[in-house]
Amino acid sequence: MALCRRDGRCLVLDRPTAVDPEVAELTFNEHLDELWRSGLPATHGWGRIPLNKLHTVIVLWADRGGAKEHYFIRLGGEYYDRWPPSVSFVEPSEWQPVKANCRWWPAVNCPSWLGLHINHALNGNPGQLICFSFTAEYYMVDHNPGESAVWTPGVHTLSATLCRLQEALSPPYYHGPSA
Amino acid sequence: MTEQKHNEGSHGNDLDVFVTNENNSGTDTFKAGPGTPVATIIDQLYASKKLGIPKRYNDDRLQCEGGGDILQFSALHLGELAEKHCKSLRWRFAGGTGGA
Repeated sequence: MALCRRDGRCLVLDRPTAVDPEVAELTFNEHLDELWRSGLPATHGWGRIPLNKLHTVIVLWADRGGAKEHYFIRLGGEYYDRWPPSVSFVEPSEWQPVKANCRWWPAVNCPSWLGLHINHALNGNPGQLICFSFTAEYYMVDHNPGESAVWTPGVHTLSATLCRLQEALSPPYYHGPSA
Repeated sequence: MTEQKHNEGSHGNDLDVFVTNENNSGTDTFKAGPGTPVATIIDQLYASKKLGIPKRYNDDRLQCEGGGDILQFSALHLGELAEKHCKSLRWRFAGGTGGA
């Protein structure tokens, strides 16, 4: 993957690789705590369900002109924060990624900076691709993001990931559950 | 005392503009008054270490809670912004996002 500047020079972006799990755990949870202290989650009504040291489910509320529906987003810290968190919409019984249109996969008329793929070939396996520059999976597929949008540790945290998802689950983009 | 307080409210810097950087959940508060240029607050937030914004980009967004984009109104004073566009003193910054 290449990042090309206006002057034509390009940088090569690495594919995500797992980072030291102890460092990842510390950073991932520290950034979650910082986010919760900021007041943003209270503003949006987000919930937080820890699964294990490196995975947390975030409850987001989608808004379609007043009607509200909740979704479960599983964040993973396997690559964090050298790369963004891994992201998937999950169903609430087992916290596993949604695999077909259902109540837990949203219908979104995606803005230009987002793609939602429920069944995308990812590293040879079918899986979700929540496609914007603040998810780890975005960097597993060839993309050419602008300089300002490239995930930069210290500049971006998982706050950026969740805020953009919240925006996509709001008017004018969100239309309701996919089934 | 009441009159003094009134005067501060009209011309002083007794308003707090609370800014959250959605990119990293950093927050900072800026003292301002109705006569403070919006551009001055924007300059301050870009310089804020608490917000941690590295540089300006064309696709930056600054939004007023319950209102719209603020960057386009940088030529106004804070009082004019509140009167004509958005009364909230809680603003949110977001940088560019790359996508599909």
